[in-house]
Amino acid sequence: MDWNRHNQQPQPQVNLDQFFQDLFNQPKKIITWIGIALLIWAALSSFFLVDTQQRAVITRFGKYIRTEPPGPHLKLPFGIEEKILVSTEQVQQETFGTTDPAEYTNFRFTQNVTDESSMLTGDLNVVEVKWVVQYFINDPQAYLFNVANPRKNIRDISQAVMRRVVGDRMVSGVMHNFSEVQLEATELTQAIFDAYEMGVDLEEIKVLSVEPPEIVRPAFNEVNAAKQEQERDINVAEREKNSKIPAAKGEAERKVSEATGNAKYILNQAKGDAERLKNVLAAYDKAPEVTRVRLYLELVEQLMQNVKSITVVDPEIKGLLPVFDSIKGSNSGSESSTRAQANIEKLSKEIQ
Amino acid sequence: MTNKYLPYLGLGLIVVITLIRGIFYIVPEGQQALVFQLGKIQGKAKTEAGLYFKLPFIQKVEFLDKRVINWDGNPEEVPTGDKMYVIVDTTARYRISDAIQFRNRLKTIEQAQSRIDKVLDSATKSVISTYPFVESVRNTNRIFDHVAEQRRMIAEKQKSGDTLAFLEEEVVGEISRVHVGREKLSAEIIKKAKGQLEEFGINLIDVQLRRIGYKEGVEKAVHERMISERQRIAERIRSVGKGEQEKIKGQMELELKEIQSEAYRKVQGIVGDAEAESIKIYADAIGQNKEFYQFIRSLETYKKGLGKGSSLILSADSGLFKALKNGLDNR
Repeated sequence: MDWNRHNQQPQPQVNLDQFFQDLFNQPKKIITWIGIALLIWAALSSFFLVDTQQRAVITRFGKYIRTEPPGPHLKLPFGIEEKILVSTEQVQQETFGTTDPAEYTNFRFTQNVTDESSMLTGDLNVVEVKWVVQYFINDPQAYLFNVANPRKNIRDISQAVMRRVVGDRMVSGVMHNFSEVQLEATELTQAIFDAYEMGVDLEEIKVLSVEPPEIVRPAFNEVNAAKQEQERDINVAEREKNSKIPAAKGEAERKVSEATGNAKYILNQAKGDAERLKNVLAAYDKAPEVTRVRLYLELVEQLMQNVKSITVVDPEIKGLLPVFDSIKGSNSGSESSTRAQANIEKLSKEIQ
Repeated sequence: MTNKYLPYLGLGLIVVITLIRGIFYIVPEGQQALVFQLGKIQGKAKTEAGLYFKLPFIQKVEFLDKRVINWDGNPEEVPTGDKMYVIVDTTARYRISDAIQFRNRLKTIEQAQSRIDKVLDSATKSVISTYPFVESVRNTNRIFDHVAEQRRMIAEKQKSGDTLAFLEEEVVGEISRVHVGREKLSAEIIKKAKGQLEEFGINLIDVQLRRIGYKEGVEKAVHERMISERQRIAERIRSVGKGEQEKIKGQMELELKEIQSEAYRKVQGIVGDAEAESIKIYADAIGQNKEFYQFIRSLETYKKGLGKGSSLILSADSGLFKALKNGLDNR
């Protein structure tokens, strides 16, 4: 049969006509085919999968009936029940004051990035703030059916809150205390989300940066530089103090030690001298005249060796006639001794 | 059955489907529906989601949003109560609380937008211009508390010896306290606008001052003020540092002097004591026999004074001469 058909020219319409003719000639077949079609449609429109990151909101004739968790599910077919998939396990992020590369620009609406970031502080200064808001959709039903444009709402509210928080603080309070700003912003924003029953849970508000406008930045940097200068000045002075004081203390101790040493030396010398004196005195006491002569002789011996000339002067002479004849010591022999005598006599005569 | 009936069957099917579709309608969640018959609204607004029935062909359905709707104003230049020109950008959120009223008074969404624009703009302008600038920026007087707290902390620090602490930023004189604040201002705008919008079936929920900023011309002056304020602070920090530096130097020099003078005192004391004691020792030794000491002393003088090659002049009655003579005589 088929081979014959194949040899003929293809005539689909004829086939279809024939098909329907066949069909209408057999009501049972019609019903069967319609039944099959309906079954397929029912299967397609009632079976669905929910991703692990999602939930499915099911409406029946438009009205909310239930929310389905991840996994395979069935719903009433033929469009009686409809599903809307909402991502609840994925963190959503809105960026403010700067462009997030992953973001669609059509959500920026009427604002540009500078307008978003530039805001006033409580002391009427201007700063540029960049921040992100991260949240989860925790109630898909509320998220879908309470607010017409949740993303726009989140953006508007976040901006209003951040401005309110920044506007209540001084510029330094904002620039140096992100965590306080973040905390208050989070509290306020979550409260508003809850009041609107947005079905959104704030995860975190993160301030990325707070900077003064570009023109003003050098002046702000100057403050930092001044702080460093201040620290440096103080450190230099402290270092000097910490090196000079100990050095001076060391020097002082050294001087005291030196003096103590000197004192000992003086005392010991005195004691030594005194001791020696005592000894000589003891000897002297035993035989004064003998000791005296002996000591003189000792001295004379020494003098004979060292002295070049000795001049004797009569104490009654008013002037002084130096006679420079050298009298050698007793070592040099009797000749010099005689000469010495002669000299002395000559002098005595001249005086008379 | 036969081909003959096929077209009629098809037509019949189409009619049936159209009829069915014309009879019921679905109001989705978050929407409300109005049924129009010959251009006039029939019955109440259907605010609950679900399946509803209507007459086919003669009755049409229009849907309106039941949810919270965002309104976004354009930035406007508004003068404040203290004659500052600021740029105000507000956003609002509202609901269509009375769909019939809304639809009757405002035929289209665009009309609704422009109506809300007008009402909110005028309410915003009138409220902002009533109050000084500060009131639309700040919500509380917290910065004053903050400054007071800082002052207190610095006073404590200074008491405990930290002289470096000083208040970096004072609240500049031109900033005054707020009596109303940003939030209350928003509330006033809502109050003003709410009544007017109610006539249009609009329930105004919330108005936020999304942005209050300086007009472009004013911004320049503000920047200059910020710059000079920062410079003033920097200058103060520097001079405090210099002052502290001098103080440390002074302390150091004082301490140095103390150390040095103390050392001197000690040294003098030690040496003085030693000398006094040695004098006493000498005196004791000498005191026992003065004459003998003098004799010995003179011998010492000769010994020390007469080195090699020196000349000696003697008096004839000196002890030394006598000794010399004796010595010579005896040889």
